[in-house]
Amino acid sequence: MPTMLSGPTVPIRPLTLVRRTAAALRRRALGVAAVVLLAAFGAVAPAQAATSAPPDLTLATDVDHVDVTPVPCAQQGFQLRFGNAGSSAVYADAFVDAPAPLTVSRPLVSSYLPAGYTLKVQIQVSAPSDTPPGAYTITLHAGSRTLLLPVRVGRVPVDTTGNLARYQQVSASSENLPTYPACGAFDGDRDSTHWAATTGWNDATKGAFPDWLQVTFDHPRQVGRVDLYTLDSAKYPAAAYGLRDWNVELQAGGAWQTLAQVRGNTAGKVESTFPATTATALRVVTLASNEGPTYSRIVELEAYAA
Amino acid sequence: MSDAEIPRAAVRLARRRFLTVTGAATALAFATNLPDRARAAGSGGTLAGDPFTLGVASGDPLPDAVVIWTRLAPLPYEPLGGMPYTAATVEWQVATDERFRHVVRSGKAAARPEFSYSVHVDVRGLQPGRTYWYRFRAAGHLSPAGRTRTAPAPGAKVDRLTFAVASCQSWPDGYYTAHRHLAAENADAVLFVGDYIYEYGISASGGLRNTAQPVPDQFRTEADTLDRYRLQYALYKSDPDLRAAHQNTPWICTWDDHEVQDNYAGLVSRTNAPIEDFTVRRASAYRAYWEHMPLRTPAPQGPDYLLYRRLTFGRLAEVNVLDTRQYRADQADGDLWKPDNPERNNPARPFAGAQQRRWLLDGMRRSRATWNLLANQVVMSRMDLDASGTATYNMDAWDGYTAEQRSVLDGLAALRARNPVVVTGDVHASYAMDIKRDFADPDSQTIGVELVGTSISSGGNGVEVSANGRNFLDHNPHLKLVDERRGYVLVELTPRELRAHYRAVPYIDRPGAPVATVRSFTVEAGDPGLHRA
Repeated sequence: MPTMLSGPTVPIRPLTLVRRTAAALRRRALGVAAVVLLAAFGAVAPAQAATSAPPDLTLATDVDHVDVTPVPCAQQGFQLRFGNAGSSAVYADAFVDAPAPLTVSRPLVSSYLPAGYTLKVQIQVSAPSDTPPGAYTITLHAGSRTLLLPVRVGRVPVDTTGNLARYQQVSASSENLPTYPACGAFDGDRDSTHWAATTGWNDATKGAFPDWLQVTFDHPRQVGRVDLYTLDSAKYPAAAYGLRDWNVELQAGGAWQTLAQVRGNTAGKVESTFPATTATALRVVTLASNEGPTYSRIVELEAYAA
Repeated sequence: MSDAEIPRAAVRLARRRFLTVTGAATALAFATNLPDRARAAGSGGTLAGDPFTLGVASGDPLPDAVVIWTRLAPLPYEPLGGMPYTAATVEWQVATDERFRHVVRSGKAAARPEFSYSVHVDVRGLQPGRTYWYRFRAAGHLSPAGRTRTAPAPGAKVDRLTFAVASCQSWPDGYYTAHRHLAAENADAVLFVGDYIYEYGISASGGLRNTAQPVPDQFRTEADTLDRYRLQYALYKSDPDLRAAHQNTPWICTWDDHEVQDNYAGLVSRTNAPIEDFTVRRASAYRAYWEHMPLRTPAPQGPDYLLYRRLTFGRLAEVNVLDTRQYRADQADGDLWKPDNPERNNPARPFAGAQQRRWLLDGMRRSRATWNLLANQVVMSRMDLDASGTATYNMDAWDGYTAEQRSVLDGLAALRARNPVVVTGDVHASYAMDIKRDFADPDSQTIGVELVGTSISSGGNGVEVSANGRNFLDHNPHLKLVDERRGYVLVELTPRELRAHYRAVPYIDRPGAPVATVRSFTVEAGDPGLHRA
């Protein structure tokens, strides 16, 4: 076993690779025992470790509390403002601890922070529908700083339109994020002029069909009618950009059944009616778009008993 | 080779050897400002599980050295990868046999939270042109054993080398079946020329992968902070075929745009975000890239990182690794495919930048290697899409920066005897091109070849040739192949000739596709130009 020496890290720059190699060869030629330079990982310390003083990190939020509606797809949260009040750049971590059963989209925010810079990051707060209403606290901490952010969890809203698909768990074969999430097709907004702004699902697999969009009910529901609103505006008429072919499927007894088939559609809204069926989930399997081999686009998907 | 082949006796032997190594431990500089909740976790500490979930890797081989890499992440999608918020010790070994009976180098490294618990050991004192095996140990867990290979000795006559060229591996676009086959090629090195990750948010179903387990919620947002980029790398490295490709072959990596953001240019973001904000994003993205690639120290500190570099393989080949993203001006005329326009021809707009360009051409001039490769991100040769009867060019490629394109192609023309071979990614298609002295004149001199490797996964299953692909073939006589299925290029070099094998798989929406050679070409040393093999 050759003698092992530890030494300081010699930064190896691209421009000097060849020269260093030649130097290593010369060393060997001189009969010097092979020298192992153990990479001293600590030698290239991050900026905050380079000084003995702890970094001067700051934490703030854009709101003094967060109201949380405990349903899937609810858009709610806060902006974290994570700053470096020190005089040198750091790489720093801010932890966002939410008490169960609350969850946050980013439980840890890490970033390079130049001196005097404040990073602004949007953080979503979610709660399952069985979360007891009341007061909760999110704890933010970074370095020696701690910040408490009050959270008020409200009640599950009640849908009065009979639409069984509101406030349920949704999923899709893929989502063109961040603009076209599956949630956009279950937000109560059927208006295609809001496309690309606030509403609607667009898959992320261009040219590949089928795609699917699904709502999973929190308990079995009687479904007898499904209304599908595909993209249909003056700018994007359904006959040119909307869905052409799709199947409406219900999950009953663990198996998927096709209740309706739509073919050759050019309209913005299609109602599919069928004998009411008890289902645990509904999905639309998309087969073709009027635009050709591109995307599936659904502005709103609704389910009713009849 | 697989880690399952390491018998338990070898593990016990290895453990004994670890315990008897003295003098190898380097002093570990721990950060002193860790919060109260930090707990000590040395190599004897307990972790939440096997920390080697992201595999092992090696890269940037030199005649006497290679970088070996791993990252500790027992719970890769949890904050800090499930590690305690303090440095951990990782032991490493390099052996001349896969059962580690002949360990020739070993030591300890610190896996620190500031670098997402990654370790990059620059193992020195190795023999040239030789295969080695390496592994790590932390908290009682042994990593899979990786296989790597050093570069041949400087000036050595080398009979044969094989490089695999790969790029563009969007995780939700499908399975990394191409990597499974690439791993089995036993290439001397993989040249990965960009788009290792894509920054986009990922839906619960995992896109074309349609995963049985939903992709966790924290992947829904776009990667734009250091924690989020780290998550993206962890998800990508969850694919066993990608881990296999790293485990079996050293990689020489460069980035393109998606390691930070789609089509960014220098400090100009796609959305023209304030420079101050995008500088921070770029710094975080560059750091995360370094953390997850087998690159040498030092790590990037801040928004700049010197990635372009040169690696020599005896007298047979030299690889010039380019970075055409960090130093470039904003794309001309609003980006995308555009007809000729004054901005793309503006000589004041950098692409590789004057410093890198000089480094490239000066280095190639001094090169003693038969083949001189350029590991390049975006297409260097002229590519005319000819949309609607007008010549149209990609403003994001070298075509969008014609002054530097001209300057480098003129430089390569003067170095024609060095056998320039440009290997490229970006376009999710296999192209084979003669680089012409004048692309408008098919009879002009060929000064080298450009081999564009298709994507590993980006673009999904793909097709043989799309309508755009046919358009390219019709309007670019120097273009000898278009194939838009997923795969890689295998480049075999001998002192007399280059053989390029374009390999592709028929589908990636499910695992297990077979690989086939789409087309092979040869290039004769001293006489640039593609010939059908």
